[in-house]
Amino acid sequence: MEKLFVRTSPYISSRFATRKIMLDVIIALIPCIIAGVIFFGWGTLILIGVCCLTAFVSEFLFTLIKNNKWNWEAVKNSSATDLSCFVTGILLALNLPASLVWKSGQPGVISLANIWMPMVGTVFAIVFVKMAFGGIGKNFANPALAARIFMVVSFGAFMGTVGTNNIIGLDAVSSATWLSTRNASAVSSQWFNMLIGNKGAAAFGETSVIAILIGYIYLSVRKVIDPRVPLIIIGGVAVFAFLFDALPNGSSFSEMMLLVAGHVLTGGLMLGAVFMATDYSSSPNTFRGNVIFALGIALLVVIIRVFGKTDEGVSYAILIMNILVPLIDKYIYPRAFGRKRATRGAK
Amino acid sequence: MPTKFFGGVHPHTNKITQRDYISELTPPAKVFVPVVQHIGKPAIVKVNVGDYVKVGTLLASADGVISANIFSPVSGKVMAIENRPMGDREVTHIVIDNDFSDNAEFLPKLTNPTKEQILARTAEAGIVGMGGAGFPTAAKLTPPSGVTIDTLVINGAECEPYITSDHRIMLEYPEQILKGIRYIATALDVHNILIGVEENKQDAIDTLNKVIAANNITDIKVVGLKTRYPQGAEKQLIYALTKRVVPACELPSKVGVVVNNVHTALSVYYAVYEGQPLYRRVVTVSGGAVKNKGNYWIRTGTTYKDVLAECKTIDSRENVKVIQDKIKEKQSQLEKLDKSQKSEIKAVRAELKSLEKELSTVKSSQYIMIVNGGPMMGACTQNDENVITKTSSALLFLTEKEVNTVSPSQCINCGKCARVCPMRLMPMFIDAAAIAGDWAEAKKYGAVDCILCGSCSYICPAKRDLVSSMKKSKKMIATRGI
Ligand code: SF4
Ligand code: SF4
Repeated sequence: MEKLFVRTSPYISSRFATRKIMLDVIIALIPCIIAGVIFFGWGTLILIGVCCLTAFVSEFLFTLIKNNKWNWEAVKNSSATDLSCFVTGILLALNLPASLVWKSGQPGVISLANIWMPMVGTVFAIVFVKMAFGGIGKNFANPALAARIFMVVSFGAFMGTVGTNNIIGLDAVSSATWLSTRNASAVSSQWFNMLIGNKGAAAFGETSVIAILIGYIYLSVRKVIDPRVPLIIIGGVAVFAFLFDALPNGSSFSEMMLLVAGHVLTGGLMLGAVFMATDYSSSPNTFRGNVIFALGIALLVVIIRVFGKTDEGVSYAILIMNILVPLIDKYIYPRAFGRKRATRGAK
Repeated sequence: MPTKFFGGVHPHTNKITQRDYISELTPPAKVFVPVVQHIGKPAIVKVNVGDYVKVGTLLASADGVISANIFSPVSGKVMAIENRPMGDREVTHIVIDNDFSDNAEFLPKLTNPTKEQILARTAEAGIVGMGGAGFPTAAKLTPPSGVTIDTLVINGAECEPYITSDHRIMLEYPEQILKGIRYIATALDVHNILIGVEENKQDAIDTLNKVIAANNITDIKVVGLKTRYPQGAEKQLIYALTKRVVPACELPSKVGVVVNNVHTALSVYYAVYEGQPLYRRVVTVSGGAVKNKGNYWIRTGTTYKDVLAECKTIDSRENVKVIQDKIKEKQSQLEKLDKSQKSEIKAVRAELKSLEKELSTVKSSQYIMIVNGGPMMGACTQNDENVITKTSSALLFLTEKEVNTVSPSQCINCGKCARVCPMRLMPMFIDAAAIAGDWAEAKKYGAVDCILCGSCSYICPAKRDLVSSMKKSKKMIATRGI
């Protein structure tokens, strides 16, 4: 008789699997990709493809070189097959300006002259931010976000805001982002464009609030993310924006509200809150830890936007809080059922 | 309603056998009765090889308070007293040849028993906690001095997937269970009795309530609990029913509660009212490989092999070999054929294909794992010579499709394990600490408080074997005194 299978209990397992979760994240990103194509043209697909391919190849080679095994087993066991590198690839692409693949001075006309930049950025994300720290689950910062900051610092001139070049013939909106002016009347006249994403952006994936919300709902229903965390970030930004920007700068109540709405709807806040701040390995492990993490992000976003005068508020805020996560996890963990805090570990 | 606890998971309940009436499984020709069917010391053998025993004859007697009497499940001759493997240790088994006459020798029946008589009888009849732990019931019903018990909790949650034995006894023996509960309550002197049943067993709740109403019972309340694993875990159950929190490393009696399983209550009834000692129990036999799945009265000491022989597999293991041989035959036939015989080659190929298809369906109905108990906390074994004991609530023969055979990958730090842990621990950190051998760190994140419920391993997307890290940490912390 064949030997029976033995293992430690439990013998059954839930539907969750690393690869399926990553696939869910990719599915949730599809609306953002579609919005990117609509408002910034087909070139965005090339950006995504390049980032994904680079991400996959670099993770794949990294694992093979690290294990120094060159057979079919090693290929199958490479962590590159868990799809998480594609999530990083897509997220990084969504965080780039569409103009990287445009001919200079000719918005919408595709040229591949700058394609080395997303490649360098992706290799940085995968090799230095993710794999060097031990791969999935071990990276201290969100790879896509860290790579975006790396690219802003390295190729700043290419990373600025660009106007839309939508392929459905809507009136294009001015290319400067709302955050550089923080002008209440612009919100009241442009709110619809802001919502659907017909606005200038330094990251083509952040443009459509509606597309991101569809992804948010999908991830929540599939129980991939804790739906409360993005809500706390966005709610937190609204409150802090009211306190630090609307109160001192708004003249009437309605103007104050428009300012708050502007903060919430622009600057990649939604993309960051839904897809970046919920990244498993660079966010805390407990809900209470996540509340601190989320509020920290919200506060930093508003402070950086109002006092730092930069559009990168969300990226910096999440990255700073990423670094604090080990500290949060060290001190914020629940008291075991039936234990009093003082006696914890005493017995 | 006070029916919630922290964490928990929703495994597919797979209660396939919940509509199957309990029937008696034909006893085997030979039983192997282990002298350890409980927590505590092995019982001391009282019979000799060659003795004639009846159903209910004392085979081995309890060695101290934390031990239990063992009774013969069949009538016949004692053939051997030998060591056999049981789990990962060797245990003395009393081997009896069944003469199928079922001559019985029970204890005297008790009418209107006093508190002392009930206590004495639970000890005498060898009753232990039948939910799985196997703690001697008489010891549980004698709380340490200075402790007052004001609440009796009866555990009918049955939160593990597949198992339906408690569900069925609640439906089929409600009067007996309630009488058994009354005996236990008398022994403890309590008048606040809560029966916790998961809401997916509404028919059991209704049945119990009907009997309670018919008998004008006022101090027993049936409480519906949220269907959520591990609802039946002692501390979680007590919290859900009474909102009392049992302190870490303490027994429920600390908060004035004693918990007993419904099947234990039924056994107490049989012991007191009918004088029947504990030699059989209701076992759910289930799993994808079993043909006659169901709930059966099974004698203790019946081997898993004999249970399966009665309940039958959907397709026997021999069939695999038969088909494999046929495939080999066809393959050699194919090799012998000349290339020019195209139509013959085609015909043999088609036959081969259908044989392979047959093989895969037969294989998918084969069991690859035997589990004694539920799939979350039960014990799996390679040895089908192991036997049913007083604590076997289920015997599962699981197919490859049902069992998780995925090997673990790297933790993705998703925090799901911490979110489902009913003890509010941080399994991923304990796992990492156990791998690093840092037992102090494992303790810091609560390894000692782990109840080994398996919720964390169940939910983990990386399929990490967290429970084995927990077990290892608990052991190391205990032995090294960290
Ligand atoms: S750590 Fe222990 S108590 Fe917590 S879920 Fe895992 S097995 Fe259950
Ligand atoms: S559930 Fe698994 S993958 Fe997620 S944090 Fe826990 S151990 Fe890691």
